[in-house]
Amino acid sequence: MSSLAAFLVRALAGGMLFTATGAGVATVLRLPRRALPIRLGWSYLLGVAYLGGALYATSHLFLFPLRRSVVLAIAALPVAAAAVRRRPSPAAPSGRTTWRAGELALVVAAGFVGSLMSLAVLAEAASSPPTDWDGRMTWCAQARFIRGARTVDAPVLREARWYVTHPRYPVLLPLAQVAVEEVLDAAEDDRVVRPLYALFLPALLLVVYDSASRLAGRRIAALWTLVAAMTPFLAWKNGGAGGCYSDLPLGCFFGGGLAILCLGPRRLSTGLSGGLLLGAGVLTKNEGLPFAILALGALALASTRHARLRPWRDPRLLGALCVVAATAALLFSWRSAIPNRYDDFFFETASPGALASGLARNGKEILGCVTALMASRASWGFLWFALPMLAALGWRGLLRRRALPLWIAPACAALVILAAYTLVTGDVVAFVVGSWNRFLVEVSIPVFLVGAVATRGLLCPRQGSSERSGRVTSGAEG
Amino acid sequence: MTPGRTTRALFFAGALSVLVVGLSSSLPQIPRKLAEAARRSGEGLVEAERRIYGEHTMGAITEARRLIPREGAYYLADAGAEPGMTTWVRYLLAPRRCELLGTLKRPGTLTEREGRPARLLPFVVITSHGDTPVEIVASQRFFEGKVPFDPGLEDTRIPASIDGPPDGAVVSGPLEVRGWCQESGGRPCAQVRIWLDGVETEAAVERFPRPDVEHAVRGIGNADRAGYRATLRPDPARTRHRLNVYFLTADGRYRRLGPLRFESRP
Repeated sequence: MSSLAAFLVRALAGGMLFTATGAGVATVLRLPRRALPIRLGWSYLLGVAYLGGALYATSHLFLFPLRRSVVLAIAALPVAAAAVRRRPSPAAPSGRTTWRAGELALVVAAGFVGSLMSLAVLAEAASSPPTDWDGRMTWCAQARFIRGARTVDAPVLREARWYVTHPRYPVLLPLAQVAVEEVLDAAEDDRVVRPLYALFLPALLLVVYDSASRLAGRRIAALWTLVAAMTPFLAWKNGGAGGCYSDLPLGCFFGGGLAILCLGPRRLSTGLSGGLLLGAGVLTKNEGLPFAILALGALALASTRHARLRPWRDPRLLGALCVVAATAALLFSWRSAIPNRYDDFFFETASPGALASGLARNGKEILGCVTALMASRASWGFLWFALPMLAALGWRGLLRRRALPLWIAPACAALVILAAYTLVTGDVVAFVVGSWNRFLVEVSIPVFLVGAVATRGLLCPRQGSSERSGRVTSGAEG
Repeated sequence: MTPGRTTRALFFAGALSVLVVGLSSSLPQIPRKLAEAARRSGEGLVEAERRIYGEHTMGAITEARRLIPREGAYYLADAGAEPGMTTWVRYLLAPRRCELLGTLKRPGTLTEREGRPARLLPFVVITSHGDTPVEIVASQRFFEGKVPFDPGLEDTRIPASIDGPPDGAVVSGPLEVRGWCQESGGRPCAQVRIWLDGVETEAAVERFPRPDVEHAVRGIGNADRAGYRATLRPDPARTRHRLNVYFLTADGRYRRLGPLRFESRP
């Protein structure tokens, strides 16, 4: 058992690098102060986003070598800036400070179950090298190539003769792996980097709890955190925290960014924090850019519902837009020198005609397959049975301005993915089976928040209307 | 209508019962995962890799790691390995770079690749199914007796076709190979090279217009040089033949069609 503890300490050491860096970023960006566990969750996401993004930019644009000294220097910057900054971050708008017995019991239960699940996932991750498909095919292999070349522009990616699968996939996660390996001075032992992926599970749970409690109160937030913690696909399966897939990290960046922008105060720093997470999503997976565009579009749409809040006057939206545009520019600049090969090419055939014929050809199969996957209790428990019912009963909550982007963005993303499925010319069922569950992971945070908002709409239908007059509903009663 | 206490109580009772069912399926996994992690925590990396990939594979991988320097490169060939094996091998040998030779259709014979690269990397790593899932062969041995031929990077999206002879044909006398190839937008393939029984033929390849292709294939563009034909004289000493056609683009990509098998009669 002592060696298991040693494994866990090593696993947490990698996580600490990002969490400490992210805590500095959160202070510099004046993210509202929260309880320590919740701060840890946000800090982890901000840390991976900042450190991975900064290494991407400095290696590609300024040719900084990917070495321990550079990683530590970049990680130390926000920590030092936070230490220099005397002014403390503003406190989050708080609701009631007293706890009701039932509420406290639910929050403690959510914390207990979430911690147990996270511990089990982390222990499993730290004790075995990756055995999943995408981790070995793409992310961990790319990390080794990049670390070997000491640059994100590794010749193996840029020279067409070499066999690299998906060479133009964005490499933020491989860069985060390189950072951990460099700092821990690890050889090619990927047991050191697997916890990097596993730690996204507790981060997701904390983000869900924090955001849901601001939208719907602590009791409903605890309920939905419990649901998230017990969703088997998120914890155990590839695409969740069980492997080295990038879907859970993208889900955290997309959902976290969306939550910050929806729920944060109208300040530029809110936009920069949310944009940093959405931008990290852009540098994590191909889907990241369309997801970020959909998130910003949904936010702009929601802000038009507020008479005094025009999108072009909203500093949150402008700040996020700038960061997302910068990361997209970085991604395209990095990609431009990489010849594409060993990749999927189905978007080359995209046209309205191809979509229509694909829908006629594959529509029924796609719908059947998607429904069967979502109905699987082994993967999703009762989530996809309960959510539509709750949404129908608590529809009032979904019409709140702050809740609109939370379902518009993932719904549009689902339409894009389903449209992509219709373009598949081969075995469409195999394609859907391999990717739909992972898409659901990518939109899981807004999905849980929609559940929380719908629950609140069902239980307290009148309280949602207070928001229209601009009142803060943080800490609202469940 | 505001839900009363009863509605709330019913909701939370329902939610709790759903959660209890969820907990009963999720919680038992936790001690199992922890016990598994505790059992593996004393494992070294070598033991862990052997557990995952097997003794034979890791023996060969260790040997390949010893022979090929970390900054070096090798060829990778798939001789019918289980799905994913070539990518696992590439991962296990990274950061060593690899060039994919493609699939060797008949394991052990190594005859499906025409020619050899002009500048040889020292080793070929072959993945296959069975007792020797990974094998390392010196490139000199692998390409023994083959003439230099570097078609470039394989791109199976290059539109091309062999119209004749059909697969399994029986022919007598000279054989005309014909078809078309062209990239979308009217860029004809720079070269068409034909290999008969593992040897590149010296027969002249004539290019000619294919208006039928221009009409039938949307976006293919002007097809004035899309068609190709060549007349081959198969070796009369053998009756069974194998034909491969390589279509090379000007920017260093190629597509191979074949092997197409036919019989010749005197």
